[in-house]
Amino acid sequence: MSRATNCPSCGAPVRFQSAASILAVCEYCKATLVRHDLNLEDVGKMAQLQADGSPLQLRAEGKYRSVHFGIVGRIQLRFEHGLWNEWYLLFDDMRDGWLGEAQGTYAVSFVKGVAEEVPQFSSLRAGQRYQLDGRGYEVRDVQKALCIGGEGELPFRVGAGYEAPVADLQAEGSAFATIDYSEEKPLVFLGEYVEFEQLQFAGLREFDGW
Amino acid sequence: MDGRPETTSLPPLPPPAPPQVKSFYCPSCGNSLTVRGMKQTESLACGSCNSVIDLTDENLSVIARFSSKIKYEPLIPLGSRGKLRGELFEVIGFLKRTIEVEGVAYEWSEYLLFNPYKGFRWLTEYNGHWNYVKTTTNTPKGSSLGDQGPVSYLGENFRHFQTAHAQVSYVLGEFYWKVQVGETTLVSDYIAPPLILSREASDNEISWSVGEYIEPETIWTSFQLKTAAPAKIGIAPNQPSPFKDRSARMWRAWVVLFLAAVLIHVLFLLLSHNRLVYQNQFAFHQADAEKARVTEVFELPGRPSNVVVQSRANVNNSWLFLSMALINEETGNAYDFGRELSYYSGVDGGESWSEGNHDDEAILPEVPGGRYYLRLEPESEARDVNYSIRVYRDVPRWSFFFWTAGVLFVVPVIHWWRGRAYEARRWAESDHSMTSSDSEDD
Repeated sequence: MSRATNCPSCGAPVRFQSAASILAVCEYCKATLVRHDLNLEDVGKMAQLQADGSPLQLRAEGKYRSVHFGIVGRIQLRFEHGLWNEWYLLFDDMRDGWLGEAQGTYAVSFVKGVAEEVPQFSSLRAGQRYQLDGRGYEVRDVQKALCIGGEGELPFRVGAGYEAPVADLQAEGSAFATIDYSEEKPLVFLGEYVEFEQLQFAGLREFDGW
Repeated sequence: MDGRPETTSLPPLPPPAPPQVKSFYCPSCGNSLTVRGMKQTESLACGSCNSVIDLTDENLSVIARFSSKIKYEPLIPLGSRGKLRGELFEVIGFLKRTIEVEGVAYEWSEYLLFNPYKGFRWLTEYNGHWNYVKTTTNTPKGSSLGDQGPVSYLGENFRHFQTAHAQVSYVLGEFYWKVQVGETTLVSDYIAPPLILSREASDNEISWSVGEYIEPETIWTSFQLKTAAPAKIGIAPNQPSPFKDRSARMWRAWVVLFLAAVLIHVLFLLLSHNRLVYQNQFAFHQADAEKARVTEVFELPGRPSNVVVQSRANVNNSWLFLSMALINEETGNAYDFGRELSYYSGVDGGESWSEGNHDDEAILPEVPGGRYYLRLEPESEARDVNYSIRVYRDVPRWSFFFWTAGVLFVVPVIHWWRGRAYEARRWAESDHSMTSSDSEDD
């Protein structure tokens, strides 16, 4: 549930909306605040995010499979083909999930423990096929993304310069998987690609002339 | 609502200003350049000095320069906006890609379209044929069966058309990656006209896109272009076949016409009298001085209609020639005609043979009703021949029906053949040309 407290650095209100969040970036002073029970530890200033052209922003809202969500955080990454945002979503039914966004493609995913052994990052090549959670996936894209920074609240610690080795996989249809090797134990995210219109966004950025 | 995220409860802090269209001078040649990609693009190629500039670098450094003998002018100028399939897009980039098949280079154009909310689309042009292309996030099925196999996408089957290495040979304007002249991907095309699916593979990335054949007029109207669209040359891989399009309509028309022919014929059968109006037997004698004779007068009833004169003779290894005239008793109007009856048979080298007939039938169309008689002038080399004559009035004719059916049948055959020739021309450009094709066209 939502818990409000104050930034130990500047005193501004800081709110954790998702119970899974352990990190928040103070909106005012950009202090990176890590949650320890009731205390907030200031671990230093978060790096400035790169100005990007994403139509999404914190506090924008949308709907996925008729469940309303709010955007409560984001991680901005750089990869070979440009910037890539992972927006942290909090759904009305209290699930938390991710909206990956790059070059006008959108994908919603949720972290998922899988029974299968996750392949080593170094062994991955585009075109290989793996089973994840009982479903066949094809490796589509393998790269080491670089974390630029984060904002809002997040369920893990991030910081600038953090290297995120990630693999995108896709199953038949629009199902997709991301394996994130940045933690000791790789995290598997399963989800699907969605069309911009499907998410019925509100509170988007406005672009001049569009 | 307890569970609802309180997304608006924080004191408002102005969000960072959204990016805008901006201009700068090419660091290499000083040419004025416009950035339209709202921070969603990574590189920009200057049209005057062929430098590719890194848009993600604050200093706008030049990544690379390329050389091109030709300065291509995009048919749709950069910065043009148009609505395609109800969505507004702006042209921000243009590139040329080349494939080489059996030593021949084929080059096509690609226009990068942008909308800050919807991302990117492409318009591709080859020989005046256009496709509206979108990267698909929905993986086609069956792609693991090998490159040459068919794939299915959203319930539709696509046949493999061609696989080739495509190389970027010219760039202009903005791109969402750091574009490089010379970058190569393996492109496999699969078709289900009017759609085309393309799989592009590099070492560490595979992407699929789906394109739809789009008429140049649609693009020219929506982007309000004043120039003339280039003429279409040949047949595009996913160009819809006009024959396939017409098939359904044509078959419906065919069935209607055929049923009409059947109906007309049935009516003819029902309405025709088919009446025997005269019959008699005659004998020919070589010795007779008077060769010509006339029959009794008989009545041909009703409306103008046909008259069938059947003759039969017992000729054997000889012939009988009948000069006949059907003469109207009142008007003297005569229908002259001659018929030959001949029959020969024998044994030759142990094989028995025969040729000719004992019977003959002459048809006189459109004879008005009235009283008529026949004048007969037989000739023969035989001494004696017996022959008989029968005259029928208003006999139903099958020939009309067979002619109609035949002509009707020719239409779908030609249609099928032309459709097939069209497909042969389409596939002639692919990895799988139709071997038995004579690929002719009109």
